[in-house]
Amino acid sequence: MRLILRGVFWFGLYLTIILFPLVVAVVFFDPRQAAGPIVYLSAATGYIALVLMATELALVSRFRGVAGAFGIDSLLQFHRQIGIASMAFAAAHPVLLVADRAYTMRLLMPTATTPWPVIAGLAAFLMAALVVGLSVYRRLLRLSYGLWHTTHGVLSVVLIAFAAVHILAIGRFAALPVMRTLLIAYLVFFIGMFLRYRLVRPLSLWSQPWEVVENRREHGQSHTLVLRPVDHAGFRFEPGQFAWIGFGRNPLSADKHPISFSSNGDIPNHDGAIAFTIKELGDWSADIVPAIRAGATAWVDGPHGVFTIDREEGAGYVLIGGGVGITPLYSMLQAIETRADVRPVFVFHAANDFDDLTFREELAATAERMPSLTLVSVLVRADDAWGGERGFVDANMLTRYLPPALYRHFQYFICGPTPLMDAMEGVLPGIGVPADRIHTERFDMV
Amino acid sequence: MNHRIVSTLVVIITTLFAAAVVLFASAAASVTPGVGAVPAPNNPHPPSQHTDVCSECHSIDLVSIPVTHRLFSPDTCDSCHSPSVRVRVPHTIAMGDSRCPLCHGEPARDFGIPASHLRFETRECLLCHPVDPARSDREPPPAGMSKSPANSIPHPLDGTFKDCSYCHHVLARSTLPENHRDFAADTCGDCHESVGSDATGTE
Repeated sequence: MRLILRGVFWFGLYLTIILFPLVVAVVFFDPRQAAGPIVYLSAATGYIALVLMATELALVSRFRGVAGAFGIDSLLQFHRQIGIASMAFAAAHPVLLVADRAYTMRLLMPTATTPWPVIAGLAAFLMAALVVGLSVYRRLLRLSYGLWHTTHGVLSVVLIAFAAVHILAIGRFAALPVMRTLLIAYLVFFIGMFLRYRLVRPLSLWSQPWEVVENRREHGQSHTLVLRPVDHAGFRFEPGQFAWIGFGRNPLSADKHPISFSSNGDIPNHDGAIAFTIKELGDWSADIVPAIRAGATAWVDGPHGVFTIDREEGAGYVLIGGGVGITPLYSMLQAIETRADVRPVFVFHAANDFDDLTFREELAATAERMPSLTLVSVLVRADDAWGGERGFVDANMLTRYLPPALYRHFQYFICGPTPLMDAMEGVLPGIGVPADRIHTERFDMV
Repeated sequence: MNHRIVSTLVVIITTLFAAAVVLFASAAASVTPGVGAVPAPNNPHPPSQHTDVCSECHSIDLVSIPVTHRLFSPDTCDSCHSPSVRVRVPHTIAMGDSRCPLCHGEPARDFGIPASHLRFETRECLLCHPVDPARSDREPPPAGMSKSPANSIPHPLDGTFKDCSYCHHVLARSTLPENHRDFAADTCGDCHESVGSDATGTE
């Protein structure tokens, strides 16, 4: 309930931050700025687009209060979808002006005599379209994550600056001193948060380097990197959480990736070593990670995330992992074993084929030691000798293994490829599992 | 958080913002004098009145440029304000340039002078509205002020009503429209036909 209240608080604050200036604009409206209703609509859509884009900077700045309420993967999903929605508002802005006949189409085709505030607005719109387009089609364009991440950040700040210049210079509503002050305060705050995330926080990692002590190959084209803190104590994490890691020359490098811990965060008095297991999926994970050697320096920003058993209470756990999505679930399982937690645990470990079953030996060994653990391995393609389940995890398979009287009271943690996640988000409510007991983590969040 | 919940939340928030935009426009329109949907006004000045820069005559201080335009460069006015396409006079101006309001005087009428022109002097009409050379010898249509026919006379025209001036004074206290006062009293029937059911003749 406390988490829900925090969610409602942040949601309310988000709406208030965005809508408050519109109320101020009406209350303090200067009659000399009077125009037609469609021009007002246009001004409001332009304003909403700008502030939505500005708040996008805060959504990804890993602000702990917000991330703790929603989870960073949810915030990133929200960031992506709101980014697209803000483009729709931005596009509506000039369309409404032309529809009102307050301006002609010539306004949209800049010439040497086009007023510079209008040019600034057009530039902001084009850059916003570029930011959204590169994000949506990054993989199709074969743009490396590092290059995309850098251009995404730089273009976003520049586009917001252009849009701010546009709105302040045109100045229908922004001509009001109170509105100008409010808008400038917003922009300074949001860009400040973004710079804190892109500059201040990375710089703070400089004094906390990590050393790669092992790069171990795993099943399913994956690698486990074991890292040890260098001249600092490292940190503890909750099982299921993740961190951003990178191997650049310094922590300011943009080439950092969100990776789940695959080690047990609960081992007391250890040497601070942590482990990440990474599948060869993209340019960084397929080219850089396999080439990392022991002794390399790593930068770790974490822990992050709310996908953890430590924040949920239940009569037992159901862990559903697809491919390398088993990683955070394996971390949870190790913690449950360490804590001698006797509540029932069901692990559904799905993969395309036997070779893709990452941690299959480790999970089998854990099942031998833990009477409370039921391990169900599921393969899409299997030879005749396979003794486990075949096909996909579905309602029928789940209800065959889960205790009918109890399963609605369990906590469900799901991590894996998008089709598995989408399927489970439909299947589990269908068999009566309450939505607030279903927790997901999408590892293709960026 | 569940992926579907986030998507639902985004839809709800986007809808809320769209509703807020509409609400804002309604509120702004209700607290401010509405000016309706208007295009950027064209530049109405004839070439003879053009100056090098608009700001020689227009400024925010004189309230002849909206405050919203204060940061536009003075040489960019024509980005939005196109030169007017001038209406040419499609008939002779043999009556002289001071008599245009005789026919075009009522702002609300077809071919009447637009309300925005009332600030101009009568003699200034031809500065912006030159005569169309192809029609310079054409007589204007009778009364020359309306696309619609002149009103019919709603009563018979015999007896007492035979003399229009008996009721429709052309001198002081005239009941004629102001722009009719220069017409002779015996010319009413040139434009106004009687359709009275018991009309027996014309003036």
